[in-house]
Amino acid sequence: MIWTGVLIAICLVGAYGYYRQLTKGLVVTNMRDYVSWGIYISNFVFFVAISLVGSLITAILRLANVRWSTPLTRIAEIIAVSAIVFASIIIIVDMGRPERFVNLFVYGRLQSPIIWDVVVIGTYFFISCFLLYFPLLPDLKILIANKNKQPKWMSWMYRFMGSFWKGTVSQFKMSHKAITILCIMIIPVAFAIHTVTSWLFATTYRPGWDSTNFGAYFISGAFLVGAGGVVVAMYVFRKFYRLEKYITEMHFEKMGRVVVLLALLYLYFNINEYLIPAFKMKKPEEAHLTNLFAGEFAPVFWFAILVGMIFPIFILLFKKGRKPLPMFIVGCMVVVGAWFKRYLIVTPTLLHPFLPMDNAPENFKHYFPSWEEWAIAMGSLAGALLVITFFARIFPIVPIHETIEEDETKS
Amino acid sequence: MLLGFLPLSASVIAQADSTKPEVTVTIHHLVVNNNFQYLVVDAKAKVSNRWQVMKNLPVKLFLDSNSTERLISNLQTDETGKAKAIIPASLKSAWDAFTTHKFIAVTADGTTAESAITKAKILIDTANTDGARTVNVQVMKWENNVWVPAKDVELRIGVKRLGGELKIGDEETYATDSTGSVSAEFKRDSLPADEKGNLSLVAKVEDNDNYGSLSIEKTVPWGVYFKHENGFGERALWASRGKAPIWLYAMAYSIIVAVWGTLLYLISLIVKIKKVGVATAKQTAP
Repeated sequence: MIWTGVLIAICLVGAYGYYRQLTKGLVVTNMRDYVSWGIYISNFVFFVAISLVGSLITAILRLANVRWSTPLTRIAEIIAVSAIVFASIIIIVDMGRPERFVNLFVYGRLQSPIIWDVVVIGTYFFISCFLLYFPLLPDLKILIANKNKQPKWMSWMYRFMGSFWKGTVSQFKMSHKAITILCIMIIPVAFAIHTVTSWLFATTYRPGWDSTNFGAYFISGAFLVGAGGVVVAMYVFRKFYRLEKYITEMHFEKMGRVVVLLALLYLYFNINEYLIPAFKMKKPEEAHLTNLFAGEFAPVFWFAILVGMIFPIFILLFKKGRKPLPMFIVGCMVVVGAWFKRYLIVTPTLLHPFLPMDNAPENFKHYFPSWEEWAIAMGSLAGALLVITFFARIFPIVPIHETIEEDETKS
Repeated sequence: MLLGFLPLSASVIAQADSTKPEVTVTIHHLVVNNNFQYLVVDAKAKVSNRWQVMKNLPVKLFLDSNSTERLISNLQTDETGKAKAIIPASLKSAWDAFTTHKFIAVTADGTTAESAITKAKILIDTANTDGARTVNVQVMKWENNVWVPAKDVELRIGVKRLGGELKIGDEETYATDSTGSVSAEFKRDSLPADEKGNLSLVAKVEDNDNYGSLSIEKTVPWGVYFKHENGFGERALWASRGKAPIWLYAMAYSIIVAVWGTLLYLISLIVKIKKVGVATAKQTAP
């Protein structure tokens, strides 16, 4: 209850901040003519990134016949659904006139990556929901059977969602078919969602964004933060729901290997993204790169690189580092580092426009979010955690039927 | 349009003062198309060995003598350190009385600058003989109540383009002969022009020590109408909504239809699962 209460309180503060933004306009933020994408868009990129974990854990590992990940699939899908919902919300929050969102559909240009983003986010949301729903059907039957242990509204909801599931052979056949289709389909859509998000930046000539590598760079980073998020969730759910029997040390060991691989991959892309432009040091890139390496953003930059990638790699290379508690700490480091990394991708570039204005006011040249922006951004993060908490309280966090099926297959 | 800002005849540097920067004031006299004349005062100062414009500097401008009745205007320099003035009607008789005049600029701190000019005019004419197009320019000065040729006056002849003048031949500048004339061949073929093929020829004397700045324009139909094909309204990635390339529509919509078609198929699977469940429930019902 304390956890939920704290999350609701943060959401309410965020809602108040948004009320102020709605009534007074975007002037309550510190976004100005130079930095027009601040922490809202950083948060959006972060949410989109973390949502990709659904495709990694559920689809890629399933299609690769990696069965140890089965107990983690629902955690991954819940994270994916809640993250994609809040990615959609935060992008509307970034709009000064949210009622004009509808214009994207009425007057949208198909040539614009923004429209592509809207389409793939919507599609990914539905695929993730389906991927959450189909494996849930057999579990709903178990939940309905235990109606005496739950409140009436919950029983009603379980019946509404899955009373028709009788566990017949033909139902299982159709369900398996649907899950296989979804697993295949979600991979290109997941790649599309984050590639298109990267194209929002990479289709411009701006320093830090003008890269042909951005799609792969974003996807590798997304898999890393998603895996980090799953590790954190695994530890928390395991501890508070006493799931040691289902989420074992073996799962942490395996996820540790996944995370270290992804961290190395993302570090590789980071080296490409920063070292090569720094080697050439083209004039428009110079101010941006120096600002990151040794300037105003250097503390955040090195924090994101060290805490988000290099320290986790060193910790996870050792077997002891892949135990539950160190893994939890590493997961937190990866997620926090990833959030700041998204901030570094979005904001510093905007402070160095190709065509700077004459006599630009001083507050155009620096950006630090206002309290309303912090409140809304933190509110959206708390909201995503609230949705995950809500799901975890209502549905089994470990797929019951699939895990039993796995155990039976093993034995 | 300003015709140039090179120093005309004189500039006076303020007395050295250890606390104040050295202020330099120059006066430019400009005549456009022989019917409009104005003066430009340019103030700058040397600070730490670098020239800086003097903004908001009050300057008094006089004709011939530093006296109230010969005051042309009380000026204040703008952001670029310049100020403009025209000779008021009250000084017409003084202006008409002499062939040569002196302009005097006095700043608030006593810096004084002078510039003298002789009245002059510039004429332009064109000729087209055997396909050779020639521009003839003549500079005349006012002397003993008659216009006489001004010789050895350096001038430029060009054609007006966006952002500047394009020289009409190979020469950068020309000098008038004893008749005050210059003849230059127009060597620019097929220059883009307006719908009637009109170009604006420009002849300019810039900051001449004796005559100041003179300029004159003449419109000639020596250009070629150039219709710009901008492709606006055609299908392109940068076109407006509804004008996207067909290949983009085909790709995007085929992907959307394939993915959403599959999602609809999955919904149909849910319906089928439900039907099977309902049928099974009926069969197993007691």
